[in-house]
Amino acid sequence: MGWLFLIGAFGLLSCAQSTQPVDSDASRVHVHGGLQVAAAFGPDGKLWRATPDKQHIYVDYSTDQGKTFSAPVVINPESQRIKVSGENHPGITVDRAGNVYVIYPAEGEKQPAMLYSSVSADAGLHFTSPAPVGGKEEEANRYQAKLIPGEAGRVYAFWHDERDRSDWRLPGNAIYSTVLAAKSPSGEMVSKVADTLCECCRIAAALDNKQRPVLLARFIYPGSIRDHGLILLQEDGKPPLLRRATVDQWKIEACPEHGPALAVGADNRFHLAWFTQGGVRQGVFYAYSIDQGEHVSDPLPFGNAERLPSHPDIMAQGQHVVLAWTEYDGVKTQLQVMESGDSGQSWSAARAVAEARNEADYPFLLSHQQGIFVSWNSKTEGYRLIPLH
Amino acid sequence: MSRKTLFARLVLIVLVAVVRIAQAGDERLPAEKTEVTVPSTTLQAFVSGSYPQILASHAGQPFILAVWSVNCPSCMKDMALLHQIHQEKPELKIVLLAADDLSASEEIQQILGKIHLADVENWVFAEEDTQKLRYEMDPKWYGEIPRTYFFDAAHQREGVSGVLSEADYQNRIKKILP
Repeated sequence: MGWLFLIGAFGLLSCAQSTQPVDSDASRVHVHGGLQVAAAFGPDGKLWRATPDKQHIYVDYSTDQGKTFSAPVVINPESQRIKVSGENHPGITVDRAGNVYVIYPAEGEKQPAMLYSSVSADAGLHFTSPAPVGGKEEEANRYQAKLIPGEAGRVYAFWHDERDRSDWRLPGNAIYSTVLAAKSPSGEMVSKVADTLCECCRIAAALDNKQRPVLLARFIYPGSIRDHGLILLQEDGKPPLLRRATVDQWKIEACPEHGPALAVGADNRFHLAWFTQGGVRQGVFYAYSIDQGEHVSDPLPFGNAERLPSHPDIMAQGQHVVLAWTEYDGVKTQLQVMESGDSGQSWSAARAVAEARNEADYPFLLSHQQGIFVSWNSKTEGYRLIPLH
Repeated sequence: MSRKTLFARLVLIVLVAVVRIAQAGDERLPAEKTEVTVPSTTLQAFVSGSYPQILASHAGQPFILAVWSVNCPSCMKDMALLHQIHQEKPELKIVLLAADDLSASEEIQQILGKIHLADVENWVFAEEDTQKLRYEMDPKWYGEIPRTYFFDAAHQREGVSGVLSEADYQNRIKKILP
């Protein structure tokens, strides 16, 4: 809100000084005020963006790789208390038919924390009225959703769900999932994917080379250990396969936040990035698996441990793998990147590709035919789509 | 005064007024030493500089600083134990800091009331750049909560993340008390 008002005030200033319309540069900065922005490329190379403020979610798009954006469309005409945070981002994705899907957290009518979804089947001109994801809003709190586009107009949604929690003192949430489609924007069939998930860490998801979803999430293992596990979804209703992926032995009963990141290469190699403060290792780490998580390579530390390396994202395009994360020196946040050309065997040195002087969002890696980009928003510098080549 | 200067001054006045109105209507903007008073609790606004202020106001005194959030189920367990300690050792100062923002004040108040910790010193993050606030307190802390600091009388401190057991608390309290 303050941001919106400040932008408004600068607009007023420039209007007062001349009769020219407000400089279009202002549209590059976040006019809606929210820091946690979701972005995704459509199949045609258009960049779609979902931006929250305190009461609404806005969608706009860019046809020039983030330099300028269309006039935003409000997804929820009726205001809601939006409950976005670093670990609880909105999500946006576009299926192969060009339908645009948005998911976002807000206070529910019957629950303090709910997820809503909305779809546009006309290239973003109109969006369906937001509906609680997975229906039956009265059942339980839902939050920390992740969307990934599947095949043929299917978009998978995964989220934290408290419906199986009878006692708040017992640790662990469940992950539930549904499939969103233009004709069922809130998802009809809801299924449980896994149990005893750490309550406050977002889920990472990707598709394997058979187009099946794979998730990476922080679980609660016996002895109050918060380490990561892979979840492989199976066909024909078979239960998912669960495989512990990290053995850092982080014994803690707390909200570590700092959820993980996952990418799958064309060679079906799984690439993992995560944060831990375990007894075995502390910091941010990378590892890969060539056998769908049955074995995982020795964790490779990255980032400058003196500068709070945080919030990694990872992307694989063929054998090219990219890691992006942030570092903070007490004054500014740096966006760091390192790359591998051989499926994660060897890595370039880290390089800083951008800086933020004030609060910054998590970085997100995006790709399409024209290359790999980092989508990054910050309070002072505004939204940036940073090309890596 | 030329017309141009006068005009520029008018614009500045309008601008300042707009920003002031915006600040008044926005509970998330940094507020210097703002106090949000409700019948049961006074929540103090934790801004840049508040941490040294807390240290100064407890100079020469051991105390516990506990960071929690309304969205953190583990924290609720931890705070139940803190309440018990507060009952048993009312002379030991406890300072609570909610790692939420001012818009959650009502929820914070309700929880503090329910867990009977409304009468200790209570703070809430009141600047949007919470990373900076955390860094000022502890440049090694990644933000996981609950996070509890035990300060001895010389303000040598120990920071621990996660829910602590009663034995953990007793051992650490023993260390900081004279």
